[in-house]
Parts: sequence; C-alpha cells; structure tokens
Amino acid sequence: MSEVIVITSGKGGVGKTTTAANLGAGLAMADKKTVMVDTDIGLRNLDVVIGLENRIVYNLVDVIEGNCRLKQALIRDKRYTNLFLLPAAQTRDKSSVEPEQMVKLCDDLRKEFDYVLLDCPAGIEQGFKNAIAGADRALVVTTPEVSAIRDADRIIGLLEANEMTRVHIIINRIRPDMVKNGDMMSVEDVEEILAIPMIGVVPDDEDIVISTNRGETVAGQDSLSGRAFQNISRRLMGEEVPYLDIQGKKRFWNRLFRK
Amino acid sequence: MFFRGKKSCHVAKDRLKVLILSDRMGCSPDLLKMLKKDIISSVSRYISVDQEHVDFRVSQKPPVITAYLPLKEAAQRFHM
Repeated sequence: MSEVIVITSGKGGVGKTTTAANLGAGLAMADKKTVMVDTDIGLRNLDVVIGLENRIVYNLVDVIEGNCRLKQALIRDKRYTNLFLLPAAQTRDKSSVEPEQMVKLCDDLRKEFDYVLLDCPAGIEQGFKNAIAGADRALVVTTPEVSAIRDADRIIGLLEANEMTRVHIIINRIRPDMVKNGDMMSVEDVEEILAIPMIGVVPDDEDIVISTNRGETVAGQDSLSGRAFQNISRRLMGEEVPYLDIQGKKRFWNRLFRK
Repeated sequence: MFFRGKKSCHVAKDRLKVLILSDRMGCSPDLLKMLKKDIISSVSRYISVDQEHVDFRVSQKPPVITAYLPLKEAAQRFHM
C-alpha cells in the first residue's frame, strides 16, 4: 500500500523543496519508509536542503539510463534511518527524462517504500509533466500572495486535465499578524479562491531559515512550522489532526515581529 | 498606506478572482467585465438584481460558468 505523492506549485520559491524535505522527515519519524525524489533536473536543491549534498554519487538520470542500480543511487538520511533521497542530475536537463520513464521509476520505488515524495520543478513544462506522470496524488504548495495563488490555480487545472483526482493545497508562509491586520489573505480566502481541499497551513517561521542553513529539517522540532509539517505528514497517512492554532500564539508572534 | 480605505487583502482577493476567472476562461479581464455587465443587465431587465453581491465562478473540470445573482425583489417580498 505505498503511495506516490508529487509536491508542486507552478511558481518557484514558495517552498516545494522545504515541504518535500519536512514531509519526508515527518513520515520517516512515523516509521514509514520514505524516499524523496528530486525531479528538478539541472537545478537540484533537495540534497542541500537536507544536508546530503556531499554524499551524491549517482542520480535519477543515472538510474533511468541504467548507469547504476536504483539502490546505488539512494542516499540514506543522516538522522532518520528509513528516509532516503534520490537526487536529481545537475549537469543534464529536463528533456533527459520522459514521463514513461518516471512512471517506471515510481513503480520500482513503490516496491521498496511506503511513501515516495516527488519534489517537482517550478513551471509547467517537461519537468512538471515528468513529475506528475507517476504520482497518485498531488500537494500544491502556495503562499498567500496573488502570483503564487494564480499559478497554483493554473497547476490545479493542469492536474485535473491529467486526471489527477486527489489534489490538496498547502498554504505556506502565512503570517497571522498580517492576516489579522487585513494585509495578508487568510487561509479561508485562499481556500475560497482555489476551491480545493486544504491539507495544512505552515506559518512563516525563522526556524525554517535556520534549519535550512544547517541542512536540517524542522519536522520534529518544537517550532510552529515543525509541528505544522508533522501534522501534514500525519494527515497524509490518513489521520485526522486538528489544525494548529497559530493565532493562539499571539504573544509568540508579536515577539517575533515586533522590531 | 494607512488611510487608503480598503484593506490590501481585499484588494488582492478581488484582483485574484478576476484574474483566475479570466485565466480559466482564456479571455481577457476586460472581456470578462463586459460579459458580466451584459449578464447583469439582461437579467435586470426582468427582475432587479442585488448588484453588490453578484459573483461569477468558473469550474475547471468540467468547465462551467456559474453566475450567482441575488435578487432584490425576492428579498423584499420575503420580508412583507
């Protein structure tokens, strides 16, 4: 009963890679054997976000072209023994892979893992088509900004056109203080506009920047974003988890943003 | 910045609604404005519409335009 989940967004820089890394960590912490696949060929980043950049020998294109066996290309995470990374090739481009090859790769990974997380490149071209080809469900990451939401809507349309029926949104980098002042769209606003069920909200959090600097994940840490990602991981596994009361942490937020 | 009246999140939401509608329909925001105006005016010829609360939506699959046109008279009749 393994599941292949693509993490996509359309717009770049909204937090796809961070989401993939943290959901991977969250699922691994729940004893699920998980692999994160960086499908952003030519612009790999997932390796550096989780601090495995020095261990790469083979990559996704090597596996697809048969230059190595799948197991040789998988890198085990430093902290979680049942979390693995399949890195993207850095010196190739998106056209080195065909959607059919991705479907085959996903099916091979299914045999080994409970969860396969595909970190999708930005854009709607070949890389996107490759990433969604083998996926069972999609998570669309957006931020509460007009450009990101517009692109998310476009992506949702393309996913639907590709017969992807299980699509959820993750709203990243929300700032409750700004929402409260009417200067940022709320979770409800975004849900209303996109008309797609939501699976989680991640507050804008300094801890994410600090963790990424160190090549670590926030999932499992006692921070708002860490708990938010862990909750999303649990919801992915089918658990009903109540939403975090990010407004309830008003004093915490005020302290963070009062400057 | 503080005395512009409308909160920026409402401006964002209104702009996005128009943008997404026109993206989904594949027509320009101007054309969409004209279409909305025409629909409201044709319906208004027969029954008066609460134009403040009119809302248009387009679903992506299947592609369907839904016009939400609250009626003024019906509301009044209800309160008599």
